[in-house]
Amino acid sequence: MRELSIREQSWSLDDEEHLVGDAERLESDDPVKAATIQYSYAKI
Amino acid sequence: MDSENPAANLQQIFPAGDVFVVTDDEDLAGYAEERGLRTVRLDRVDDLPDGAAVVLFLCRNLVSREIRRRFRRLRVLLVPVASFDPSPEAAAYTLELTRHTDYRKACDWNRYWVRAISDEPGPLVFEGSGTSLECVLADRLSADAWYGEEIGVGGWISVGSYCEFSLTAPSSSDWHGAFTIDGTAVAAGVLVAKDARVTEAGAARIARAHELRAELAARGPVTLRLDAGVLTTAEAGGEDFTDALREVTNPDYGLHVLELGIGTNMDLLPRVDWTRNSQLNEGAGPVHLGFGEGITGAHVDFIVAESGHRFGESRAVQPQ
Repeated sequence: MRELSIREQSWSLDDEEHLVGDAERLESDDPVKAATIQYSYAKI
Repeated sequence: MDSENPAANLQQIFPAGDVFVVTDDEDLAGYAEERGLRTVRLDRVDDLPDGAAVVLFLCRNLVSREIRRRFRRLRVLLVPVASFDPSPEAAAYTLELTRHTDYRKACDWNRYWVRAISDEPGPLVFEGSGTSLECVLADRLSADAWYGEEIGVGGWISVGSYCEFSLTAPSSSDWHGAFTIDGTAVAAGVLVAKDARVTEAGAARIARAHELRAELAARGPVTLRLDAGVLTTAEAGGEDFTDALREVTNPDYGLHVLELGIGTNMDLLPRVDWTRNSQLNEGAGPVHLGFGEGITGAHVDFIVAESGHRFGESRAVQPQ
């Protein structure tokens, strides 16, 4: 009936400081798009 | 499994090994130690063995890359107290509700919402005790929720991911791409939060939002009226707070609903103090509406404490 996807809830950095996991949305310049209402993410 | 046995609750997500409370706040560390919890200060986290299970209460720091990096070899349930209210009373309250959450049941509810939102036709309706909200959902949706129960090594899961099933607007140029909400909500609780990426202008708005929240909390339930996904009025104690809310959540957003949050931690309701600005209050009610992102303005949540739900005209089947 509806196409539902669940976003990755964890994020991490590798040894080269690259994001690991599906966190590209969180880097958006649009704060609404980048919003994660769980307050667990920090930008470079 | 139950919220009366807090040690068993955390074992639902950390079944192997001891669970450590880690915090950057000396008052909270003392509080945890008095209750017999294994407690480590943040500056000593490197002493923990690889794979250790941690409930991380950040009271003096927002999340940062530096902090994240220090926990890569550990298993982490994150409680971002500093995003809400880091006062000793609020932090202790938040710790208690974190311990008393039935994580397995919260995951059951998240799995229920995955199935129901995928399969049930018609709008999602919340109604009861003065609330009557009709939420028309898009055919394609992305949601935030955690229902994997256990947190593995390298995991970094916010407690909010267990306690709510959250839908958010896709972007500031697409407010209706996920849902459109009409109707009335009677909110028992109001929360104000800030994100680690908060801007200078956002911080100023958030400071004013905290004052607004205190005023709302003193006046009792807040009645919200929504039309086509926009908050048209917010009233409490006979006074209109609509303009004030628009300003503190970033007036450019025009009080469009940013978040439709569905609570998955309702067993906590008897323990909730709605005067507290605690993330753990958020998932204790069946539904909450959020405005603003916490970056350019406050994220303000209005939490409905009492309502049932259905899809269209059907009677929804819910987990027991």
